[in-house]
Amino acid sequence: MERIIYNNKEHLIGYHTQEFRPGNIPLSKAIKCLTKNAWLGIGYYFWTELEFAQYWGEDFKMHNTGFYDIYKAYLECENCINSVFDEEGYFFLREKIEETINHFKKNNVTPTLEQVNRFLADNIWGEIGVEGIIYDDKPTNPKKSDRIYSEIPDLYFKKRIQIVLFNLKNIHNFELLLEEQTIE
Amino acid sequence: MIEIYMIDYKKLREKFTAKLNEFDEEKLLKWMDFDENRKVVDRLLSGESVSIHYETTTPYRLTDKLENIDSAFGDNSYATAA
Repeated sequence: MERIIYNNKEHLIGYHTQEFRPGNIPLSKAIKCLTKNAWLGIGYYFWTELEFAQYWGEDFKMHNTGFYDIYKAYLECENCINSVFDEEGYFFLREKIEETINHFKKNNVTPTLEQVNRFLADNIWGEIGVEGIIYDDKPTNPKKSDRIYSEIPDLYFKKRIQIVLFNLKNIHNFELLLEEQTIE
Repeated sequence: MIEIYMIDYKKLREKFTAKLNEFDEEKLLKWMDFDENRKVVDRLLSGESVSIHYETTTPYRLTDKLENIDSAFGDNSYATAA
């Protein structure tokens, strides 16, 4: 993951993909992902690698205009659960998701995984000081089955890492990096 | 100097469980309803069509306090002033 020192703190660099905005000025801040795709909870989603931000644009963010934009930002992640590279973070998140599912079931409520994550983002994470999650997404996106992620089929050796931040205050230097991109 | 932070997972574990236990069945169901409504609004805002079902009920008529006061004072409506 790319890192940068900003305001004396280490920040991660994140990439945020959106549909190209013809005639509009570029975004000045990230767009909050609402319920439909917000599978780690409602928040601001970033990829840690440009490659996956480009795939996301090509596969999901150009259906209206035929083009997508990629923004870059410095992400303040010191209060994020790092479930990808931090063993403690991984087991903490796993344990707490299981605990939440069991809590719902004990109270006769059956949630989906997305609902569990949205519930945690809405009601728990912010309350206990967690400002985001670094997460290893599925190796492929099943909604776009023709995307080739690996030259050797099914050998998914690259992690598709996403960062969700629940608050704009943790996103700095948000700027347009690549404009009007399309499939080459 | 670079500031380095580490999450204290031990403390977080305690806080997490305490917070989660604040949600009993009633609160969880209330949140599920809220989440479902939010999903519908989100779909509407993103241009999708949604099917909305609603119930009609017999209107409940509230008693007009002024009517009661009028009848209590007959034609002398000035008696209700002040």
